[in-house]
Amino acid sequence: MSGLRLDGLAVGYRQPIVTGIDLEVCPGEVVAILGASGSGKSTLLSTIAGTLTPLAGRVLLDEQDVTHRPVNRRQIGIVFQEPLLFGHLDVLGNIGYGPRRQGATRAAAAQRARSLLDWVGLTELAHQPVSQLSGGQAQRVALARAVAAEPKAMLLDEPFSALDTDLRTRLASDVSTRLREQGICTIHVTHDLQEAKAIADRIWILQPGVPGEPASLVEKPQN
Amino acid sequence: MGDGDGPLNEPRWLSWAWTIPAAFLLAFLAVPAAMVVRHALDPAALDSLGSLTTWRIAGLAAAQAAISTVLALAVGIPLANVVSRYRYRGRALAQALLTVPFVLPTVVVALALKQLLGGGSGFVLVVLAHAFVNLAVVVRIVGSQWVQLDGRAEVVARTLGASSWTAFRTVTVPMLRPAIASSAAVVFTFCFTSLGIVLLLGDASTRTLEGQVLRRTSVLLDFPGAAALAIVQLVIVAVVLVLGARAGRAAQQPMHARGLRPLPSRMLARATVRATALVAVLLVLAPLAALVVASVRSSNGWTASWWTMLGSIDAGTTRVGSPLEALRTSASFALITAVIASIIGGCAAIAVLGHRIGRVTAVLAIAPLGISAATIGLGTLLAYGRPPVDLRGSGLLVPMAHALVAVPLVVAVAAPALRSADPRLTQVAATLGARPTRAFATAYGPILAVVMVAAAGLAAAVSLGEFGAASFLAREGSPTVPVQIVRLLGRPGEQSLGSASALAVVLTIATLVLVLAVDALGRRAQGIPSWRSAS
Repeated sequence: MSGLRLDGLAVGYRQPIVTGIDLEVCPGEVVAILGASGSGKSTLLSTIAGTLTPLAGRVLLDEQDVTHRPVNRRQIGIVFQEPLLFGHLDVLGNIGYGPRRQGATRAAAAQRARSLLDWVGLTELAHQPVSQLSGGQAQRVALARAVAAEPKAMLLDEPFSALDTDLRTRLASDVSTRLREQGICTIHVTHDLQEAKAIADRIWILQPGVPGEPASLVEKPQN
Repeated sequence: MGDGDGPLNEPRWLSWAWTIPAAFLLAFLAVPAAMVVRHALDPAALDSLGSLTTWRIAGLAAAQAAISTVLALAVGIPLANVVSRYRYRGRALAQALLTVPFVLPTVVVALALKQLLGGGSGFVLVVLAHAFVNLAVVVRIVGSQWVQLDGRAEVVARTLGASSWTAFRTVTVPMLRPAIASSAAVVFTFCFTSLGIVLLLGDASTRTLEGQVLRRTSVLLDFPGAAALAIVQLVIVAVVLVLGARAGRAAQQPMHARGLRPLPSRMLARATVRATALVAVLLVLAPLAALVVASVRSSNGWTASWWTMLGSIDAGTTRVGSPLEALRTSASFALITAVIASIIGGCAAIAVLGHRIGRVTAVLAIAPLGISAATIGLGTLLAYGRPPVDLRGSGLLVPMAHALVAVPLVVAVAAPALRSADPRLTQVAATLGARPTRAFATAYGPILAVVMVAAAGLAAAVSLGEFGAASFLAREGSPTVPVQIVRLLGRPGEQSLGSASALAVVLTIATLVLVLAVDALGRRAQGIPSWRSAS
């Protein structure tokens, strides 16, 4: 199967927080993972991204085991709740960062960045310092930056929760549509059921275990 | 007082608190500075300014300072990463130990390194010593910025294809640029104006303008020449500090302080962090251990002679004076400095709460931080060490100069602590019938008491270790301990070296006890309820 597959994954820091994770995400599919604060959502994403080693299990991308592959060679992008834009680069520089790391010339990276800036509807902001962007604009730039690196999978760690409700709903739906267009497998973690319903093809829930035991990930029934 | 406080709540004397530090600064900063400028304008000063040697020394000092700074940054930045960002057993100890070389008197550090490296002198040794002493500056400034940065920015860079090194180079370093630039400027300034280390470890290749100011003053008695060099040095330092501040201006960066992070999950990275912390600890302890060993070792084996000699009349070092007498002199100077600096600095910090002139005075009180010890020593000597005003016999010149050096630190400790007290307490006390002074004491008294004792300890520690100004002002017969150590080391023979090492061990212990006490009091002051901790 092409796409992202988590095979018996157990995540945590020394002690497991979530265990027995078996999940498949197809290209162009958006899966939401719903869980309360502190339920292990971010730990799970860190493990998939490669900044944390899993306690057990495997992460597969297009059937290739990437469990022990360095973060920079996984082709898995991530967007956090805060845009985390690089303050010393302008908007174009931020979006062109990934292409540059992959060997693109400065001009080619800028061209790719411009096309993605068009894609997120912020063409006129190319040379804007990132400190002058609004919350919604900054989050769009963060998304464009992640997509510019041509990832096969994208992890969204509550990227809209800092925005107001109206903007959050619009942006969430907009972003998931764009990621589907690009054929990227997307895992979107959130604690907001409405947001999950609005954007995801399937919803999974981090189910807390009995006290002292790790949580598990279960699929929410369609009804 | 805080915003919205009416003048009725303010004790009347508060609006006059600035006059005490202002008078002190006028007498011991402005007048000596004016004397230095006046002498620098003397036609005889042109000789030193026009001399090729002067500019060659300035160039050499700049090169030495630049190399020392690069080395301090190269070692200090990885150490800042390890001791400021990760959570592990012994982290606080490693961080505290890295501060030790900076708080210890420079002559002690120089002697300790000399003992560790088996004697010798020269450019390499001076650069190593400067980097060693200033590691704490880099670790503190860069580390405090680093711990504030959101580490996920680097994670984002890695998911975009950057290797760990590239992510560090292209994301973390630019984010740390303000801290790196300002620590580099401060370290460069310290190395460029170094005196004690250069005198003990240097040779002809490591001369500094600071050393030339001392030489022209005490050997050549060329006051105009010394004053001109002091001004040249001051201008260069000012330019470097301004450049550092400008280079440090940076775009807003993602800040998301999450406190200390756990050690990396990968075994190799985890081991690297632990090993680096261990190296940091050994790096600090090794020279100190060498110093202790040198104080109980002679060519014939272990000995207590160097310690028993501390009390003898001259410790076999004719015309140098008794080491024990130097300890007494330093202790009394430290005590006087503590009293003067805490009164002046305390008034300056209190003045910040009052009138606008008070805030200006507090800023001016910090100015001596940017002025080298030799410049302060020279200025004080020119103003008050010669007729018509000759205070050398009073024994007050050294403590006055030390107080000038210590006052900025007292203000830096006391002013933020006072500002953290809740000004509304004065209003509450006033509504309960307290007169303005009593209301002020109710609001600020508890924190002021702790902070002033801590500030006095800090001032005493500064005085104990200060060498530059004391070398200008200490009388021949009553040197301070650092001056005595340098004099002893200027004499041949293992007896002098042994006595100097024993004295340095005593000075190390005294300084560390004071600094630890100040640190403990600082923690206690943080525990006093304030509006910041309440909100």
